[in-house]
Formats: sequence, structure tokens, C-alpha cells
Amino acid sequence: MKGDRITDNNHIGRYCKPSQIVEGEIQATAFLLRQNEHGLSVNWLEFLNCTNRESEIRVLRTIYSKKISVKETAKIAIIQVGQMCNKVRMESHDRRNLSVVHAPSFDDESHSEIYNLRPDNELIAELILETILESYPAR
Amino acid sequence: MFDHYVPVKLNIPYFGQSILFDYPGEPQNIGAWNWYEKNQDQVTFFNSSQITNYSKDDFVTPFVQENILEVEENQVLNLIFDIKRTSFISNREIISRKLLNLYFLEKEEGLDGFGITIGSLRNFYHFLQLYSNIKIPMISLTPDATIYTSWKEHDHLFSINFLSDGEVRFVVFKPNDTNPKHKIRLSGSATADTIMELISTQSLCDWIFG
Repeated sequence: MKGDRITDNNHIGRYCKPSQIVEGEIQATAFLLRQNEHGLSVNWLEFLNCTNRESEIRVLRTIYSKKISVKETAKIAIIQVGQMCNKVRMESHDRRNLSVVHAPSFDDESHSEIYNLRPDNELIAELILETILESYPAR
Repeated sequence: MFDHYVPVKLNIPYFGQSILFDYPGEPQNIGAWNWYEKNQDQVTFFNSSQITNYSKDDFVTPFVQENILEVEENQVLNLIFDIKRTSFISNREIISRKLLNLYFLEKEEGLDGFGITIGSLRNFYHFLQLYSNIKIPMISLTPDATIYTSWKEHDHLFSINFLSDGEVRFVVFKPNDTNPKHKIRLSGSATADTIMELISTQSLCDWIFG
């Protein structure tokens, strides 16, 4: 439901553009905000109600393909909410408490956002990068 | 990206035009740079519809909207080319190629379609001129199209975000030799000409410089 906080044991997928990937490796830039953004867009995997990760990825690919032109080298980064929030809380200078909130849109019901980031949070972006569990091609 | 060539056509959202960066008939593996070197004074734009049956002669036709050549996009391409021909920058070929690749990627799917932010590129070029013997970094673009470089080795990380206003923001992760259970994590802001002081005090030189 819109505004629900996604709990620690859930997973999110983040779409990573080709310009944020170097030689197949996702970079911290995939987790930086634009200057005018307040939340980092992700998708809540458990919300998709699939039986396995492969099915979740297939659904995400379909969602992306309807919203954007997905390039061949784009990727999906999979992160567990609790691992990400704990790492950032423990290792950021200001003990930052990130929150992941369900923010569905008309064309993407699993859409969610990571809050409490700022555009100048390069260190936090690097920490989030270290919590990626796995990555998949975005198409 | 440039190991084998096909004509590269980029859409410029504002004007519905395309920039062609290579043309058929050139030997393989020479590519975009050769064309650009020959034509850098008159980067040539075409309507997408004009590119269906092209010949070499088509590519010397100057683009009608000359003012566009002076805006940011052209400055970015010129600056990338400047990096390529700055002979004292080690790895200039690879770095400029990476930048051009990023420029193309961002033009294709960036929300604003501007490629790389010119101020950030100038800042990065300034850095390269000052520290010309750095190892090749991983280069990506931030959502605001600024240049973000990273050097990673084992448990070391040194990243720099080259902002448009001449500042840089950096991140350093490195082992804590005196307390091995802990890691040293630094972040902050500086300018391209002062970042060297940081590098030298953090014993990063060995794995940043070639």
C-alpha cells in the first residue's frame, strides 16, 4: 500500500543505466540522486508476488520496457533492504537512517523509493553499492 | 565501442537532428576520431531522414543552425578531443574514448540529452593536466551528468565526483592498518588542484599513479 515502509527482509531492484556501468560492473553513480530528486527509485520485489527471482526479473524487465528504452548493457541491481539500511547506518559518518517506502505509480505498482539520501551522498552511494547481492541484465 | 565501426547517429532532442560521427568507406578501426579530426571545425548535422542514402560528399555539408555548434554539446566534443591530443596525459587515448562512449550513452538515454556536463569535463581535464600519470580510472556519469571516477584495488577505493563549479567531492575507503577490524572511510570536498594533497596524506599514490 502506498506509503508503507518496506521491511528489512524484503528486496528491491534498482535499474542501472549503461553510463553507470563500467565493464559490466555497476558503479556508485547508480545510487546517487539528481539535484532535484528526493527519493531513489527502486522496485519492491516481494510485492510482485512471484515464486522465484527469475520471475521477478522478468516482470521488472517488462515494467522497464514500458517506461523507458532499455539499453542492452543496462542492469538490475538486487539489494536486501535490511542489509543496505544497516550498512549505511553503521558506516556512514552521520549514522544515516535510510527508509524504503512503497510509492506505486499507475504504470508500476511495485515502484518504491529510498528516502533520506541527498545528492551529495557519494559515500553512502559507495556503501549501498557494496550491498548489491546480485545483478541481472535489464532486458 | 570503437573496435568496429558503423555510422553513429545520435538524436538531439531539441531539434530533431542527428550528428553523424563516422561514415562508411573508412578503414575499420580508424573511426570516429579520424572523421572528427578532419571536420572538427564544422561538425556536421543532418536530419535523420537525410541519412538513408548518404555518400562521402554528404558529410561536408555544414549544418544550418550554426549557433548550435557553439553550445555545450560541441564544447564537450571539442574538450574530449583536447584530452585525446594532450600528449603529456598518459592513457589519454583510452580516457578520451571512455568519455566519448559515455557522451554517446548519456545522449541516448539521459533525461536532458546533453551528454556530459561541460563544467564537469573541464574540471576533469584540469585534473588530468595536473596529475597526468594517473592510472586509468573507472569512469561513469552521475544522474546530473557529471564525471565520476573510481580507482579500486582489493579493499581500497578512491572516487571523485567532478562537479561543474570546479569543486570535487571524493570518497576514500582503505584498510586501517593499526586497527585491522576497522576500515577508514573518508569523504569531503576539495578542488582538482588540491586533491593531490589528500592523496599524498592517505598513502594512495601507489595505486593511483602509473
